[in-house]
Amino acid sequence: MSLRVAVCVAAVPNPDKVKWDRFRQLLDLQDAELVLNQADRCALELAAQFSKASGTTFDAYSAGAGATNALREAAVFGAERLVAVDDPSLADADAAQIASVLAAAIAKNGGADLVLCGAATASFGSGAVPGFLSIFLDAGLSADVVGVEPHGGSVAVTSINGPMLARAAAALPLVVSAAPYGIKTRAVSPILLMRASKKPVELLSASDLSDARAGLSAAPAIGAADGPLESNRKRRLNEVIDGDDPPARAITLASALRERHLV
Amino acid sequence: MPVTVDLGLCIGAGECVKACAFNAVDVIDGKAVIYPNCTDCDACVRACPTHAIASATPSEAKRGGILVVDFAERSGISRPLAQTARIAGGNAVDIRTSTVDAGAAADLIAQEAQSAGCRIIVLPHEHAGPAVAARVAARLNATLLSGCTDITLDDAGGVRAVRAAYGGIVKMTSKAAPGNVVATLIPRSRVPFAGRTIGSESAPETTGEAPPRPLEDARTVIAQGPNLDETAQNTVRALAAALDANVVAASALKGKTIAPDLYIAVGFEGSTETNAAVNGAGSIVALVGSARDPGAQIADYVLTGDVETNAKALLASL
Repeated sequence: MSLRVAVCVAAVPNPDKVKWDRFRQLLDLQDAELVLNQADRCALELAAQFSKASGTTFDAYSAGAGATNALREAAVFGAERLVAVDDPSLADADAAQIASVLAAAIAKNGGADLVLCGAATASFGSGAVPGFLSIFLDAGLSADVVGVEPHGGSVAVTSINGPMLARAAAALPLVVSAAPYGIKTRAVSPILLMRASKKPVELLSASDLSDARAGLSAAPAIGAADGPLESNRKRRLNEVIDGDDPPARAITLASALRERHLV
Repeated sequence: MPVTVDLGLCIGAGECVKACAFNAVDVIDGKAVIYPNCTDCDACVRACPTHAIASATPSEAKRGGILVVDFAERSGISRPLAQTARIAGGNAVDIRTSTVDAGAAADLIAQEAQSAGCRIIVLPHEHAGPAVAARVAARLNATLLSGCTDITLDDAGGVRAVRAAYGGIVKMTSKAAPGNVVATLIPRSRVPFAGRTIGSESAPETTGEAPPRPLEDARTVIAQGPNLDETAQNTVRALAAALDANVVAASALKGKTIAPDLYIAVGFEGSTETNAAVNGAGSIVALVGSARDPGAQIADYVLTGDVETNAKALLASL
């Protein structure tokens, strides 16, 4: 039996170019082009390794702005089909909405036995998409995974379990959240990227998925009301904690760090 | 009615005195004393580092248990949440579960929250925590607040959370209306977690040690100087374990750029190169010999004097 494997990836503003504009008091994303989310490379690598070991292929899905950019790089890892859902309605979508669209796109293309995702995005980093996908697809969930192998007609998953790695058989269908580290990902050269850019990307809109979305499990969590973004970097205090009593000075320091939610 | 002080827990830190806007608290003979003009505003309750002060009259609207879930013997979220639970007028119900089957773990947590009558469920924002939290939120039809650095309850029984985004460059304040809330909290210093264990007790098949967390992903980094003796290095290791920090030789920072939430230089005077490497850190602490050292110039907090004594005192105060 050939397993159907899907990988969900996201495009995020290039983390190296995201900065806080302290004059205009806003997040400056002007120079930050949309790139493949770093943690999703780990999911793609797991999918590539699984495909090689099981002789299957895998498809890559992405939803939201920059989906096509993210999928170009996914193609370098060997994705067979590239499916992008880009729709203005997804501009402010939360993790549950993105997961719902991805699940619908997967369902529209015949479903999947194994769905792999990155741990979290470099932007808002909720890490919630795999959990929501598991609900929408009525699937099991494995998280912090560093390895997936074929295991009879099912899969065996190796995940981080405290200080150790644990290996366990998992039933299908299964959503896997790849660990953000501990997976050696392949280098993506410009030549490979150029070749991959010739691979066609199937474009879907939200309306193409309305039937598939209606067939999903009930919509899950409720989003919170988010306030505006503020700078999280404070001016350096340069505070020398004076005194003759080291324990008292340490308590003062620990209290200051607690106030900043650092310890 | 004034707040109450557990004299057994009070260490006379004085944070309550600083926090009180009504001059209603003092420290006398090393213990907090509350005066009758206390308005029970809870500012001291939140400030107390040892949780010695309890709110006197938590309103009914604030009531509602908190289920704290962690996956390890030492938790980075249980202590800050114990404080929130007291403000909520109830005790936290702590549970531990294995995440080898994250889906089953999430379903068990949802069941546990329902049977314990907890409307706020908090998990660590690390490892399997975020994925499990989303599934729990879906099971309970709850509001999901992920990646929180701080969680408080408002007077109406809603939840207010500060959440970091874009690698900690920015933050935002999110509000969830009264009702079921699932949150993931970024872990802080680790303390023993005495939570009840739910789920499978059988040990999974292990295949080796978990990979080390890369320096670039660490929330707390401790750089140790080259001249620390063995005892001082052991103290640094203990401090790192308590703070869940990555330890790095100061020389290894040259040519790198890191941006942890907290960077602590221990016995390392700093240099232009290392200052550039860590300048993106959220907060910088320097345990150095002199406040004139280059590393101290970019620090938020500086402890001068004997480095090992200061490191041990900091460890004891956590």
